[in-house]
Amino acid sequence: MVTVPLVLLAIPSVVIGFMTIEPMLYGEFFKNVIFIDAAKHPAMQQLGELFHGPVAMALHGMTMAPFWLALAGVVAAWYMYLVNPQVPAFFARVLRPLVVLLEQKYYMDWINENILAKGARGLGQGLWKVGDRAIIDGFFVNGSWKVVGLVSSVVRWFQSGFLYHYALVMILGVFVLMTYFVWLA
Amino acid sequence: MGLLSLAIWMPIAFGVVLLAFGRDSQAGAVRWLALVGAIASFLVTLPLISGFELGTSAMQFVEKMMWFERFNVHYHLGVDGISLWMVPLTAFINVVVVIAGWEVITRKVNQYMAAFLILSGLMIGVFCALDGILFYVFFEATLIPMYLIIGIWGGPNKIYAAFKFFLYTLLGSLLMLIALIYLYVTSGGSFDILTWHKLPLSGSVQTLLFFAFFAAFAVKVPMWPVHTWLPDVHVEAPTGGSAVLAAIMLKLGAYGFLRFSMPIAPDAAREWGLLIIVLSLVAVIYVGLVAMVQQDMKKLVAYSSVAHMGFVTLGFFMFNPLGVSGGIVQMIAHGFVSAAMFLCIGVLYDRVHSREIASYGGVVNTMPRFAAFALLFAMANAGLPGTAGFVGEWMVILGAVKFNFWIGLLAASALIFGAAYTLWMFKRVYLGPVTKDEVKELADINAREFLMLAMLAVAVLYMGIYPKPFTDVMDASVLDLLKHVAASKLP
Repeated sequence: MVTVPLVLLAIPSVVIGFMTIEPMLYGEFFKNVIFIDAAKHPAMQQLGELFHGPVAMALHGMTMAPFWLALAGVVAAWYMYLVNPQVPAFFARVLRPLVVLLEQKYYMDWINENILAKGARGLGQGLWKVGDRAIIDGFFVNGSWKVVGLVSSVVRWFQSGFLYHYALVMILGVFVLMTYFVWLA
Repeated sequence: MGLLSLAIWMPIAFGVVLLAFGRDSQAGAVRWLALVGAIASFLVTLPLISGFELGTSAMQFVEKMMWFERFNVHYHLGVDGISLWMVPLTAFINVVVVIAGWEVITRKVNQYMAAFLILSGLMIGVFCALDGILFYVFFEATLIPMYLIIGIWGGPNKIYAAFKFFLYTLLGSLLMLIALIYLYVTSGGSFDILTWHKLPLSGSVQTLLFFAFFAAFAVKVPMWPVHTWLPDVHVEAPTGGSAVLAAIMLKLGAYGFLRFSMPIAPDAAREWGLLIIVLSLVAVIYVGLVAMVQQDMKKLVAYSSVAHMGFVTLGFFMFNPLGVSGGIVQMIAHGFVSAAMFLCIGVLYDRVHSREIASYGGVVNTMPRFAAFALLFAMANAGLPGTAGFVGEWMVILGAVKFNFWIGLLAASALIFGAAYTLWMFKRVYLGPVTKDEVKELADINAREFLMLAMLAVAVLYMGIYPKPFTDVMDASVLDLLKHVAASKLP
């Protein structure tokens, strides 16, 4: 289903490449638009001296290692997966760790889910339960009103309810203050 | 009556009328009157935007008259580029929240609507007040209707939540009251906030004042570690209460930093700025991680609010225009987005009566229109460009990187956590196959729900695509504030 579109894309790619490589890379196409300082960046100039047209470039390319390696790859793939599948099965057994590493996409997904995401959630749980609920709310906020309640439950025993007790304490208090201000201050 | 007074007292007046004359037997009329009041109160705030003069940091729409002559307390109102957008935002959210509570609240409807209307007026008062006592009165008064909203219409643990909210925020505010009184005495008998901005103060005094204000505003924002009241309160509050709390009330604290802490104690603000930055980063990262493990949707969004407000305080203490403007923009954006998130949870809760993520799954199959809105708001919460959530976060991160690369890097990590917890929640609740019977029987949103979500969607998209009207307004005031903060006030 994808083959026809691929073919339809491949043909214009070749045609456009053929027509534009010389004017765009080594010609006048970008004349007043892109400026290259040839003294600092001589790469394009050097490539231009070695360029002898698109056909020559293609033919020369076919005599170089990358082309032969790519072709060897195609042939190897044809042999291994269409002629003799025992070969890739053998390599998969022998190089099992490498195969697993590649199938697991270098464990990036695993790291993301188990270390980053789970770690963030674990940290969040810890900060919430320990930080917010136990320390801030539990100790400081709820602890403060609990302390007030505790103190009140003790202090209320000092309230006898008798007016003469309160009057006596007030008189004693006035006596202490007067002693301080008259004698000591 | 000036525009600001109208914006404050009109919703309060409607609220008082509803309290006095509304009955559950006339619930329909009560709701319509509340809606009329909310819309009218919103319309009254629009001339503030159209009539606001750009390019000046001076207070505008100023109203001033004597209140308590004996203590030189004035009824002094005004808005500048920093506080302007908070006023229409408050009134807008009030309209949305009245619509949100339409069918859900069936008990003491007049009191519910009145509480929100009065709360809206009081919150606008906080943003407009230019007198210390007036600010304090409005600041504390907002606690009362919210306490009642949580305590009467809240969930099973509402009493604990209401008390926690009230006492926690009140405790911090008491230190602020001491600071206000000290400033009154030191300034020779003035409660005028703008006078206090120019008052020279020694380093040790500034430090004490800074921390006194910090106690109040840090709890309100809420900053780590005084943030634990927010998840409990959000979980127990009714949907409208959560929306208003997250959208507006948290901003009262952030606004306080800009109006009090930084200009009154600039030397202390610069000296202790790193502490605030560290606490903000902790809020952003620690709380982001905590949000990820929540199983209750409201708790998740509550923790997300803490993280987003961490961005706001982080931006403020960068002491550069991008950071401060970004913080203010984030305040406004978070107002829309968090209200929307809580309303979405409310829509689901109204049907299934569960806030647990595990109770849902595949909601998009049975409620596709609702899921579309929920997706937009989830993306906005995660900070997707094109939504309101992105603009403020981007500005704050840029400001942070300018301040210090590593702080900017840590702040940017918040975007990852924000996306993680929001998208994961969205996936578990809305996507996938329908496995629960309750989800199979869900009906899509009705016209009322569509209206309230559409209003917020328009706001979120508008702010995300064209934030210029929001940023233009605050430029002059932010630059003036930063110039003021950069100068020393030591005598």
